[in-house]
Amino acid sequence: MPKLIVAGPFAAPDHVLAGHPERPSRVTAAIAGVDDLMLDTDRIDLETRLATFEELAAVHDDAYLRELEAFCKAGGGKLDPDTYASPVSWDAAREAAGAGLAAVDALANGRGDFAFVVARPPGHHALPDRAMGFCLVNNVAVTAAALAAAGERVMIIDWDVHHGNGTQALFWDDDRVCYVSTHQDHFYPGTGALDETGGPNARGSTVNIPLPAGATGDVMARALDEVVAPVVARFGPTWMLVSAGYDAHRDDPLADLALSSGDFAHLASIVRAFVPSPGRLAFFLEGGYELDAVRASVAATAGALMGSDHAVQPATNGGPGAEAVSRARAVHVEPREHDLW
Amino acid sequence: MVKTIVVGVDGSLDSSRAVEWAYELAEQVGARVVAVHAVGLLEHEIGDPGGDHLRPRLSEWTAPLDQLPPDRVERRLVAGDPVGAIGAAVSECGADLVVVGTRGIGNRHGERLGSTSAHLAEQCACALVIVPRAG
Ligand SMILES: [Zn+2]
Repeated sequence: MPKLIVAGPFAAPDHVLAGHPERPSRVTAAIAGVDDLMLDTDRIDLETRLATFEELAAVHDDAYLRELEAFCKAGGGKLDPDTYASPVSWDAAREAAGAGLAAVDALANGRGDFAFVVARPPGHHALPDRAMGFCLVNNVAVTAAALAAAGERVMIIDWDVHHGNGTQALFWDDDRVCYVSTHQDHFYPGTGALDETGGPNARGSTVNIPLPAGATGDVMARALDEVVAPVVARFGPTWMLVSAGYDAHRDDPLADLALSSGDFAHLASIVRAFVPSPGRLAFFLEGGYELDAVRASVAATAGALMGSDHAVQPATNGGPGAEAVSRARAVHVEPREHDLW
Repeated sequence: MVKTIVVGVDGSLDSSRAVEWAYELAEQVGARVVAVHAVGLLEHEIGDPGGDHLRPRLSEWTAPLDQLPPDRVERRLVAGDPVGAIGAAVSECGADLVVVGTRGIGNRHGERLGSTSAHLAEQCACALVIVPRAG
């Protein structure tokens, strides 16, 4: 049996704003999804640590980090119309980022086959110099930067319904990290168009696959099979990180894709097959605001990794998006089929 | 000198002062005004994917601009955060001036200088006016 490393749960109960959907119970729901699998000795609950200032500064500006720490310690408040901080948020952000670093350390040391970082606040909208979209520190990027600095080639697959503009910006011109995103088209945060493919030193290492509202699980699976699989073959990652948001679920109140929890089992099994060698796959909780959907989808994801069929909702199909996948293939795959990376 | 003004709008009292200020300047110098509202992550909860439910509200928030000739007024809903949305509007419209309220449009409930205003002050490619709250 494979072993699942669980980094968390870090629900950050005092990083909270009344009525805000990015709330501690999201993490409680996600860890309940892991608990539902009853993995017993196949589950390793990891001791983690706070990320250091230097580790965060690998992706964020020093001035932003100092300002964020001071802002939190002065009582917090709104950082943009969507994003808040409380007095504990600085430590919560360091805890969430540190959990990712600890998870890949544990994987590198052979302690497990897959890792799931069950923490908040989420990270993929956080930019080098500012908080955005509920995110303070870019957790997956902190881990990717640490791996890249150690000579690894990292692929980040972001299946959150929103485009991870922060992660894209951080690795835009860095050919050691390939950022791949499926997301709802013409939607927050307004980035992630097909023609955003990376900077001059990293052309083709940003891969955006915008999908129309209503897209179902079969469309997401096609995107992974027909667009992402050739990119994986071309890029040759040594590590695979997943920005696992669950707001593409049909019940999520913040967006309009139409996936079921069962679809996430299928997506996870496709991603598992991309992994270059055992123990090089870590999932990071991003969005997902409907608690039952988060719980069932996390169970489906982790269940698929572990080879136990836990998907209770059937997979979905028949939604729009086949043409969007073809367009993405035309941009990201076909022109490069004969190129060497 | 000032041909195109971008004004950041969020429906707050601070932003309505910014709209008034932008209108008065535009009236005097014959400039065009582009009002920008950033459609945030939270706004989806109350509405539809295209943000069309926000259009009437944006018109309401920018009512003073109706006193200008229609071809000198544009209202935009842009997905994203205010700093990014205003920055994009500035480069797309070739704006000469950005006008925002004191707390910017990003910190309605905050207690310090709005993060939007502060970030725009650092990053804006053109002149920036931050309209004070009092007086
Ligand atoms: Zn999201």
